[in-house]
Amino acid sequence: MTRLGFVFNLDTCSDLRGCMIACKNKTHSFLGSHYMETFTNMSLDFPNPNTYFVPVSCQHCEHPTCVSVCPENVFSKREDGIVAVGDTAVCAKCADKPCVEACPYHAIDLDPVDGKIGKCDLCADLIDQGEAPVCAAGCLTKSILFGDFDDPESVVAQTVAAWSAVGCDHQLKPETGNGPAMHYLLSKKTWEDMDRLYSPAWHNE
Amino acid sequence: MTREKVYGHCRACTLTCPAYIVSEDGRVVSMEAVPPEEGGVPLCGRGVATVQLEYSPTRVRYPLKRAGKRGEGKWERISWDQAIQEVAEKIYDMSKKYGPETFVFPGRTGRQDMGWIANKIARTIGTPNNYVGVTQHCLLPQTHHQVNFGMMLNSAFATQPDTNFHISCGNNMEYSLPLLASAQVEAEKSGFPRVTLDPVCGAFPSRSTEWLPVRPGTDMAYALCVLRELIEQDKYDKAFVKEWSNAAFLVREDTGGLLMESDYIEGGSPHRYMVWDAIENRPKWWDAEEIQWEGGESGKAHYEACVERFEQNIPSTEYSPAVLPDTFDPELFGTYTIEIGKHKQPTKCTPAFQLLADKVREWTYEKTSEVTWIPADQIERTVNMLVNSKFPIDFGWDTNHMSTNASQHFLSVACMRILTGSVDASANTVFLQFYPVTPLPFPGEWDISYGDGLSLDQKRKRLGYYTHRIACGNSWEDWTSWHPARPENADATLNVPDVGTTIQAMETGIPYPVHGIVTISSNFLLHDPSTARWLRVLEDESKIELHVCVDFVMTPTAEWADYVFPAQTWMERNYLEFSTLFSPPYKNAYRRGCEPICEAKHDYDFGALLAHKLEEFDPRYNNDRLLNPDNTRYWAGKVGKLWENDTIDEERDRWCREFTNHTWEECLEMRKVPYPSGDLERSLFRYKIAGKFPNDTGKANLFSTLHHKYGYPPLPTYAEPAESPYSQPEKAKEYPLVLTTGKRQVGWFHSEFRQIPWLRECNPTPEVFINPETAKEFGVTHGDWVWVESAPDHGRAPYNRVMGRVSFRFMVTPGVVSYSQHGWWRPERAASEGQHGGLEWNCENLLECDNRTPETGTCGLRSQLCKVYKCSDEDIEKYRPMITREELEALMPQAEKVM
Repeated sequence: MTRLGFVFNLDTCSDLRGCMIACKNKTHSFLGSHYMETFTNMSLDFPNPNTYFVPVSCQHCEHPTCVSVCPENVFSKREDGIVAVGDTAVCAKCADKPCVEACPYHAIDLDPVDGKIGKCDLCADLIDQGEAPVCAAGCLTKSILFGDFDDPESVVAQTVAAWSAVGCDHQLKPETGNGPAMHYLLSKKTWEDMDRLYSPAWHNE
Repeated sequence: MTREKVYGHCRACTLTCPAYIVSEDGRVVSMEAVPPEEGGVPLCGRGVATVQLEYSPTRVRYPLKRAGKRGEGKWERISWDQAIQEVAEKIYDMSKKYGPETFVFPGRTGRQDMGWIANKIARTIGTPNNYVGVTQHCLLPQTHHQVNFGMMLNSAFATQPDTNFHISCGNNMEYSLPLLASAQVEAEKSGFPRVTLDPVCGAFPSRSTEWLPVRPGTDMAYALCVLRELIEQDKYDKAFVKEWSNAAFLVREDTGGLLMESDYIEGGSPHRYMVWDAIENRPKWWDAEEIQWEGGESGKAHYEACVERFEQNIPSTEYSPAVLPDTFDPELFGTYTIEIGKHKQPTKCTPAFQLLADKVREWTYEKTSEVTWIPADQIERTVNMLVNSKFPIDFGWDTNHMSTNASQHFLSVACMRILTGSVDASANTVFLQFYPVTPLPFPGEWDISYGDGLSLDQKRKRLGYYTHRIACGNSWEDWTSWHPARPENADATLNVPDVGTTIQAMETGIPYPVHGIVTISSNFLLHDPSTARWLRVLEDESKIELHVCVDFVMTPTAEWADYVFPAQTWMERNYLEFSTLFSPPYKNAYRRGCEPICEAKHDYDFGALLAHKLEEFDPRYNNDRLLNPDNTRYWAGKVGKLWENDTIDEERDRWCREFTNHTWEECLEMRKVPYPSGDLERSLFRYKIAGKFPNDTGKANLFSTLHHKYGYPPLPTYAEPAESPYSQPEKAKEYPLVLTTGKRQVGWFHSEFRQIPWLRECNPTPEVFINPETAKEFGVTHGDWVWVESAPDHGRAPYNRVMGRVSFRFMVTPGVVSYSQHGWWRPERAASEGQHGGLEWNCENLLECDNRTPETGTCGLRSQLCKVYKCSDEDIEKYRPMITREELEALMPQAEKVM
């Protein structure tokens, strides 16, 4: 089996947002969309704020809600784990856009201009050519590791195992049962899931 | 379709990273990182996104001439010939009428090329008033090192893993210089203690060992506490302090100056500084000319041999024999009576170190806490971490200086360096240059700018020269006598006019009328206080008779000009990198990635056209008599024209042939051009090699001789910021919050790139960081649009308020408002809407510049007073602060091929 995904090292993520721009540069996704978005854990504690940063993309879930709710089968789960995005021309006709609300990670962006949706597809076209997603390469602090979690030799599997052993490996909203592929490592601060995540980015306000 | 990949660079910030510029059919489509195996680095978000600048609708395409009133936004396209003709005529006429000093060149960020070229154009016109305002904004913390040490030290950005201890103020690399942030993150893994003073707890402080929530403008109080504890606990580096600083030099009580042998011995030397010897209990000397301690060996011959090697581009490596002999133990404490002068007047003389100890004694943890607002127990804990650390220590103390106590603040940092021996002792405490140990085989920007070439009389007309004597030029006369090596970076000098004196001259004609502004790659209305004062003089054509602007973007400042010239971006021109942050032993050469759009020209080419036109009016504008051989190290004795060539590439070809034995084209092929002489690897402890520091005393000046000579306190003396709750309690009744500005956001470089859609999406508006408790007191909360308002005095009215959006994203010292960031304008707005929204979010509106650091003219940009209150619905309706989709789409790169 193959299960592609990311490990995000939140001990080193410093809100450079290189991942966000690398994604924009590759996908040219519509203005106001951020298939990869860096959030700040907005801690109000003073004088020891629990401040850290969390890049959030599509989690390429094992049981993706978007796949099940989309009436037009725009989304599909690939063998390698990627939740792919097909032809979004049909989205314009979709009145409710159920995928947008259904995703517990708010990973699906909706373009108000043409009614199409968009999300991270893990740079599926690049992966099919044997390359890696651009956000990982665009991270200057090397906080994004990419690989196959089903390969025990992979850096992602080994890293997760090591951090898990000390209780510092986390996932977003595991209680949803979606089975997100992404892992988040955090030892220097206290993990607060998505409870206090805030992004200053613009979203077609 | 032809796809081309050219080895170029990104110059969206100071770091100048190599990058492949990718074009399709001659149109730039992206920037790619150069792979590590080719010596490249990853590209940050700003580097990738600013490809959107190349065909941005905000670009200036053709020379423009004002067709309405200033600021109205009415422009007429004219030819380069006509524009140069008219501007040159005006410059010529105005120079004859008022003197060339009537022209000022506003400050700009030091991104090479622009810096030395602007210096050269200023030199051509004959004005000493280049680079107004740099003492307010940039590089002063480093250039000020020259006062104590004779040359600049590197900035410590916490990027080295083998660091004993790092202490910094206001480090924001993740947003300002992302490549360094990646080095910081890597270095952190080695686990060295990192203490950070900052009013705002962003990424760097939040991962530091301790975040000290400091009151802006008071960081020097913490430094004084450190000095107190180093001395009280006897933890300072005694050997370094005694042997390599002037801490033991005796200070006369009567003059406040250093005691020389000639003061009290007839026929004594005026180069011998007196020190009390604890062994023989009598005064002994350090001879700065002979480079010798009394009873020890002279280092003069050894030093002269170093100079000879320097002239041949050979570095020196052997230590000097001029060491402190065993028979001499400089006394750091006590007071001694010496009979001075013809009449043998008994005079108390005290080692400078004793005076420092006396000065800092009052800075207990409690007093320091009262002043800085940092809890006393945290001060005690962190000061003791530093004091008990292994030395040397890294000081990243370069970003918070914009307060009215800047110079004394720098002296306190220099003292911390000296007391911990943190000078040229490690990668993060190293000198950028060290004369005569490390050669300079290639001219620096300062040399090729001929910035030193004006006559002394003309230099002395520099605005602020005699008022702010450390940074605006007066003391530069002394500094330049210390050694002949000039900073490689043309902007790294202590001889620039200050903003306050400049505006006053424009307003009042005192000390002389200032009627002309030549703005080269500067958006000064967005970075110089006080906006209302600037606009009043710009509105008045009898005050500002000519404003010329050269830029690649039509900024608010450009809208206030009479002529605007289109400049080239980094994608459009070849570049030879002169000075870099870390001085590698080679030069970088990068190619252009595309043809310039429309009629954009390189800043050099603009200067050459202007100079050659002025030459037609009067040949003296471009002949060899403009060169001042005494000051121009590399061109001394050579006869040639100031503007030998028409284009930058021709000029570069000349230097390359002269100094690298290659043509410019060959250098471009090579990409990295090594120095033709041998190994230039920097060693450490170079003062031991030279036997002296490159300054007047030959020792690290703990006691600042320049400060004393020019009438300022020579040892660090705390001064409360000029506009603070304590210095102005009456004003603080209405404006009770401490306003600080200058915190960065992702993607911007000062005022640049607000029009880049991919960056504007990341932060669409300024963030106003306030502590939640403080916000509650003022009835505002996260997400609210607020007015941040300052007092109207000092000419700030009527623009003394700006809008911003409250953010609790980062925690803040209570009682402080951090308006992040400076330099905000709104390219989505028309010229008629406040010159592209140059007033709505411009924090310079709030900042006054009448109160200035006496020594340097620095204003309290990061430390003044304000209040905050919610915007009304009408305000939101009127100002529409959130950019719309249509507006962002309109800022996307223009699809059609522009030519």
